[in-house]
Amino acid sequence: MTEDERNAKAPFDRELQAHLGQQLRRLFNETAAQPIPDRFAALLERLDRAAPAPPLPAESLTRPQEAF
Amino acid sequence: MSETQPDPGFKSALLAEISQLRFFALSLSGQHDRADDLVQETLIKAWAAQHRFTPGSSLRAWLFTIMRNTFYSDYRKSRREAPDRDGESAARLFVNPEQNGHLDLDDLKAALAKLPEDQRVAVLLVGASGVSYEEAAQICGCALGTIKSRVNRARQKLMQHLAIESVAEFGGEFLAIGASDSAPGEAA
Repeated sequence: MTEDERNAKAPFDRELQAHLGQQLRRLFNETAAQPIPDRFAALLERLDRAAPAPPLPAESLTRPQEAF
Repeated sequence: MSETQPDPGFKSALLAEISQLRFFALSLSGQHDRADDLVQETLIKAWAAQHRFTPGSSLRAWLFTIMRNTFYSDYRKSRREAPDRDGESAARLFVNPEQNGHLDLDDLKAALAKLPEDQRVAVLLVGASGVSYEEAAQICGCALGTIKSRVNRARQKLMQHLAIESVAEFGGEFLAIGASDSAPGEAA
């Protein structure tokens, strides 16, 4: 590609990049706009009532240094 | 025992991150049913590990790290055990069977599905979820430069794809040129 061709292409690239940025944010907003299933609030309620935090699975307890 | 009591604010802090968690789960798994299971598992692990969270650091980045580790340790394993048809799950990326999304995002979704997984996750973290490059590197367990290069490569490919789609709206000439690139007999 010659320099002239690159210069001619640059505004199009900038526009396209801005368009891509908007589309990615809209994709996020599309998901964020969906109602949150009740199961998550219910789960956190159960976890909260069961405080202190439930014991980790045996596998995790034997390897405490390996987070998660 | 007071230090073992859960922080009363932790539950509401987790609730406030659920939309973000669902989106990142989709970025990883590409499927809504799997994504919500992944969110649930992440919440359970985060609750159990809350004493390891450093107050003042990014809860979102911490949760995303747990989610990503969970996905790669558990979900990828089961995916290998039950492989689906080539590209079938990628084709369903972000497509919720119960709700129709914006039609004009279909091109983006199709382009995202074609990206290598590490590039897709990187560009969605930075471009859609809005986490910093530094946090994305932490979440993905790689160097800052690696994340930047993944995001750049993903962005270039997505822009190419979107450029082709926008040209296609104006006419078929570019598509004809594109078609001549493929080897004779390659097209089915």
